[in-house]
Amino acid sequence: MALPWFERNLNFGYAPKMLPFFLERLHGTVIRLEEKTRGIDDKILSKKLEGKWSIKENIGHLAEVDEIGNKRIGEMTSGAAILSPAVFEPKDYNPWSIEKVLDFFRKTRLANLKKYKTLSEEQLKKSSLHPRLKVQMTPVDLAWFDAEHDDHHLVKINEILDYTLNQ
Amino acid sequence: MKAQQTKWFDRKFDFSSEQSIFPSIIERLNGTPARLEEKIKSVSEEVLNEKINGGWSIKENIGHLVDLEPLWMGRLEDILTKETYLRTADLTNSKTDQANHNTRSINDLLKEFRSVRTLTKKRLESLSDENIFLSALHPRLKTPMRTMDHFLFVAEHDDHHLVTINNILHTLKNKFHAPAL
Repeated sequence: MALPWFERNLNFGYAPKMLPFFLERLHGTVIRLEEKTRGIDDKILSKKLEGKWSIKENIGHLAEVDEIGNKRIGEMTSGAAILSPAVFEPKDYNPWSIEKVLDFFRKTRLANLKKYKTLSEEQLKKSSLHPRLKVQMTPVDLAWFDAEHDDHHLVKINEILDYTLNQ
Repeated sequence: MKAQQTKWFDRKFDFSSEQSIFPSIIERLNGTPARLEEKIKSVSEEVLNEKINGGWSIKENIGHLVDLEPLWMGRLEDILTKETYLRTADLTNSKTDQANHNTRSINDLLKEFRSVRTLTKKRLESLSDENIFLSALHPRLKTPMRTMDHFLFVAEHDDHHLVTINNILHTLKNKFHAPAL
């Protein structure tokens, strides 16, 4: 069982020169998800094990986090003291086709990548307080944070697949 | 994008975490073949073979990842058998320079990388929690490197070469009409 996300110790303070690596990771998540879900029965993709999120819900969650991330990038570069809280209005992704869920995530992810690529080095050094972690976070830190968060949910999806395919 | 990427040998690594994030690291390593395949799927042969300023071509960058997989697995065995130091890497990368990866087809290179990486993934999935926190000294960095740290290092090294490939594609996009990133 993977370490719960909210128990992760996370260190920030990444230099702007690290951003290309983090953007490459963020870009790769869509491709990894496509490969991971290819050929998987829709019943498995929608299955909630012990009431937890299904595979589709894990992917939809990443898209919702991207929408908040997009807003937070703007807050950091405009000098906001504190970032907006991560408040979600979850949708029911299980009736959606996997293609539709992936397409939703692809759109939010490409929007964020595009936004990161417009930032100057000066903007990449601006920071705001993360409301839950109580640490200063720059856009570079956010890119790394989201890449780690992606991996966390890819592992959750692996756990669902391992359990259902090996039953 | 204004930010330039840090050179590999200038990178600093933080191996201080006491928490196990090994499943995430295995997942990252498992994702590299698909990311490479997607990146070069509609890239022409001349772009795949092009060496900019004497640097490695895209094929050579991928071949280098294949070349290094035995080192990564050898170092895992060094940790598990409680060697003091991890085995040294050839910092001149002569194996890749001499391999003539440009003469191979891109499909062969990608297939071989997927094959060796799948074996790595299976080996890592078989390790116990105790194995993940065993360590040996890294010969260049002179710091203790646990199994978890070592494979985080490998995942970062993968990303370094994926970004290098992005830079090649970006540089050549006008010369050969390579696909936009």
